[in-house]
Amino acid sequence: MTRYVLGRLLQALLTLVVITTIAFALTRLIPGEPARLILGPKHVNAAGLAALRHELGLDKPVLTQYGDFMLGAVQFHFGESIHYRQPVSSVLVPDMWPTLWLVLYSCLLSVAMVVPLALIAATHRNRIADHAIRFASTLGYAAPAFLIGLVLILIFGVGLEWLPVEGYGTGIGGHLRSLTLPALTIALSFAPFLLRTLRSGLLDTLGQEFIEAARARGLSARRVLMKHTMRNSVLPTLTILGISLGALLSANVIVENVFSIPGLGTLLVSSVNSRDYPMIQALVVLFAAAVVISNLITDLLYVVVDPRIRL
Amino acid sequence: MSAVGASMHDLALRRLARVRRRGIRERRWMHLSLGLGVAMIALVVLATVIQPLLPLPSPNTQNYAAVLQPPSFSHPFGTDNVGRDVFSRTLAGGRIDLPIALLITSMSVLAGVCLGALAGFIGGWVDALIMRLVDIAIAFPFMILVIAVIAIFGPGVKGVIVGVPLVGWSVYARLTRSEMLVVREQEYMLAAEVLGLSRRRALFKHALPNIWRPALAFSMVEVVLNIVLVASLSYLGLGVQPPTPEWGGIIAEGQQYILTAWWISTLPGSVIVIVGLGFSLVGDAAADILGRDLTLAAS
Amino acid sequence: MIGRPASESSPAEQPLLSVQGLSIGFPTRSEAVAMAADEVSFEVQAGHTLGLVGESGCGKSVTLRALIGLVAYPGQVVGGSAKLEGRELLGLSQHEWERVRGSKVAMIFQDPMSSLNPIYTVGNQLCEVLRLKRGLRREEARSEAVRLLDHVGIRAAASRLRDYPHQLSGGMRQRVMIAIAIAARPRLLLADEPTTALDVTVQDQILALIAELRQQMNMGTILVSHDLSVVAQVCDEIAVMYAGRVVERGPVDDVLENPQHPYTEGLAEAVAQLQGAHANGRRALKTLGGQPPSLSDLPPGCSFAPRCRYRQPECEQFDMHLQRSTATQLTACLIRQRQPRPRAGVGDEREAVL
Repeated sequence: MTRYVLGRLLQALLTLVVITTIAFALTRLIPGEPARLILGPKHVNAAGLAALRHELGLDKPVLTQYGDFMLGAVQFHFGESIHYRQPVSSVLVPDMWPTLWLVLYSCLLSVAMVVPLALIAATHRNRIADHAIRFASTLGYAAPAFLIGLVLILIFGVGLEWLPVEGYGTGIGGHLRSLTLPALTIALSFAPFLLRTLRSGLLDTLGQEFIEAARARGLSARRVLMKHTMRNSVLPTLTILGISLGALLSANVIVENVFSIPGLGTLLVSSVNSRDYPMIQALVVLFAAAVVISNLITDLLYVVVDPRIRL
Repeated sequence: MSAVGASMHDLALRRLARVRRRGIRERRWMHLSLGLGVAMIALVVLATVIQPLLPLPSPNTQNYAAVLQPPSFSHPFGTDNVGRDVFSRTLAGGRIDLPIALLITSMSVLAGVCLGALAGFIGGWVDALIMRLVDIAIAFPFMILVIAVIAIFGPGVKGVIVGVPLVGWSVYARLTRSEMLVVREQEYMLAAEVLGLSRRRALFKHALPNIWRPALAFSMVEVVLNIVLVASLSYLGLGVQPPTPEWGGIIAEGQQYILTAWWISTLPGSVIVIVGLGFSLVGDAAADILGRDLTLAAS
Repeated sequence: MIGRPASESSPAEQPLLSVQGLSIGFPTRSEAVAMAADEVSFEVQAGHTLGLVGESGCGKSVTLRALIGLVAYPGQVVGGSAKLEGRELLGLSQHEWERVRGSKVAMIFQDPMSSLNPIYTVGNQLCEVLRLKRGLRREEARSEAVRLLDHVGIRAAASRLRDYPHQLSGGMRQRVMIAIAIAARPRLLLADEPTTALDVTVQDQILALIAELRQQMNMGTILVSHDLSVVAQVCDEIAVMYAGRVVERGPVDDVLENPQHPYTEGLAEAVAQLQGAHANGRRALKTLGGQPPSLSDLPPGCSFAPRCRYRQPECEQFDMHLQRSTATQLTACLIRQRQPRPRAGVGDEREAVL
């Protein structure tokens, strides 16, 4: 048990180091001179170039640069944003909130959507309801998130005029209203993955002998499903949810841009376009760390929750 | 048999017949959906290939006399804000998106199958090293890495082509390795060794042909994801750059006119969905034929 | 020998369970229906045990499941009757079955590890039955659970309630399964190979426990096993199944000492040969030559004929009905129905009696 936890911690740490190294390598791998690229062809003059090189630390030996970068990364200190002319963290931190709320909101929506559908699909295996649900999920799988978002905008924003179609709103109610369509978009494009997992998890559990034994005790079909099947299948699904945070964040980056939400995804895309390398580095490390940590927490939680795993 | 028993007998026989018919229907449905999937892919691929031969305006020809025209016989998908034919642009876009998606998928499959087979076949520290890399690649948020690579090369196709296989191989490596571990213990591998065949010959002649199928079936599913990914990156302005006609780009341009000209975004979008659905149906059928859920095996 | 009630104790007028002509079909790819159980008939008296034996795939497990309404999809009961205390079980609705299961009929499964839900504690699963089936309140259910666990021979029962199934040994788990099965005081206990997955030393204890509980609670029991020595230990009656058919039925001593059906004869001989050494039923059954036929492709007439050493041409027309061949035994064999097999040694006199 302790061995497993330690091993898992070490693995997560290793992944984080690799990711941070990649983020560091980002600026060194740019073809041509990064400082020149950043400044753009118009503003190039020797003094400006030297100043920027110094600012980015490019005039030091590579190993020193790497050491400085890793040290800074540990304190989440990535220098000054080239575009905003402010410390990276002071730009980045306010943009974290919309992203965080959007991720939570869409997680909630997808679970609320997937659980009843998976139950119906699994209990009506290979019947019409199951086929319909699976077809709908294949459809959601084939449609890009931005397309789902546009269709939702057309229906709920433009057609019915129920919900705002862009921005973040003001106040908690405003945030909630503004984030509803984006969260629904993410949920719809993410639900197919979750649905597939939960459905086969349920089918797997339903085929177990303890389900037959529970029915042989005279427990009602409903009780067998809700108490004895559901909880056994929810655990693996939560794991998938934790592991798929990466996929969720990817959808998040796209959907924030569709709905012009001032979050980290919008910031990432605009930073790539404006070649704001310190900002890109910070965001890459932040996103990756979020994914690695959520994977770690999922794995550790699984050990705590499932009584069978006592390593 | 009592009267009660007799009626129960009829009922049960009817139920049994129904179960049998359902089984037949299942198999028929599986073949139907495979055929449907192939047909959907073929339709779109064919249309994109013969697009230059079709009597349509060229994808980049602007026509200010006919801007924001709704779908009609002469413009099946309508026209955009500068009067370009959206149908023509969509088909031309397919000639960009589909090859890129196929290219990055096959690069991932090739790299993944080779590394996975190697890990499973050789074992030891090679296996440990490759699987550790798989763990890291899988833990990495896919889209973020691709965007990071794009940040190096600047917006464009190059970043996508380098970035996707960099992470994409890991799933295939994991799939292939577990297949290889099974195959390695099979009789015919032992037989090959007993016959004194070299390890390399045993690997290429006898093991590989038996382990690529799950990877191929899963790649059908992943082509969809990669089409969606290429379109998404271009939608964000990070992939293929305008004015080159590309699905994500066309949709992004159309989004500004969504209130007045819904067709510019949604109709090209429906083509993406048709292709995606086609590959998904083929992938599901392939998984059915192999008898397991590969999406789960890979996760 | 484990405490077996004297089989000569007077049987009640009405049997606890009476199964007549039970048939269970499975659909096949062709129009035909594979009969997993075909015209199966037997009776079980209260306080008695019936052993259902045969090779795997002979229909004994599916017959047992029909009696608790759990024939696996896509199988269907296609005919016959099964009356428990005079009440017809076959054809009950889903809801009616839920009321019968547990409180009238209960079942013990082969693998106690996989038949307990791994994520709930023993106490949780035991109390669930007590609360739902006997209407006990939480606290009552808890003390009753302790009493039951104690009763099935689990020491320190109170502390065991908090254990998860994987924390118990195989024998303990099967005791828990038994406690759950008897929790709602069923009249009929079905046991599907209850000792197969257990260590040899534990097997006897579990069999003894089942026998003891059956006596105390005056339950009828059906024990499905492929192991004739287990059946010989605890059963009063025996029904031998082959390819979905009951081929021989009678008191266990009579059937094993003087088997009438050639299939039973083969089984009994195999056990006799192996006795003393490691009498393993599974292996014993293998000593019969050949394989049982596929249910979807049965030979014409007697389905045992292809493996039978007494085979006659007429066997291909025999409809396999059971008929009295000795004073106590029913046999589905054309040869034996014409001329019963003499009891070994004293056979000639017995034959004269019949």
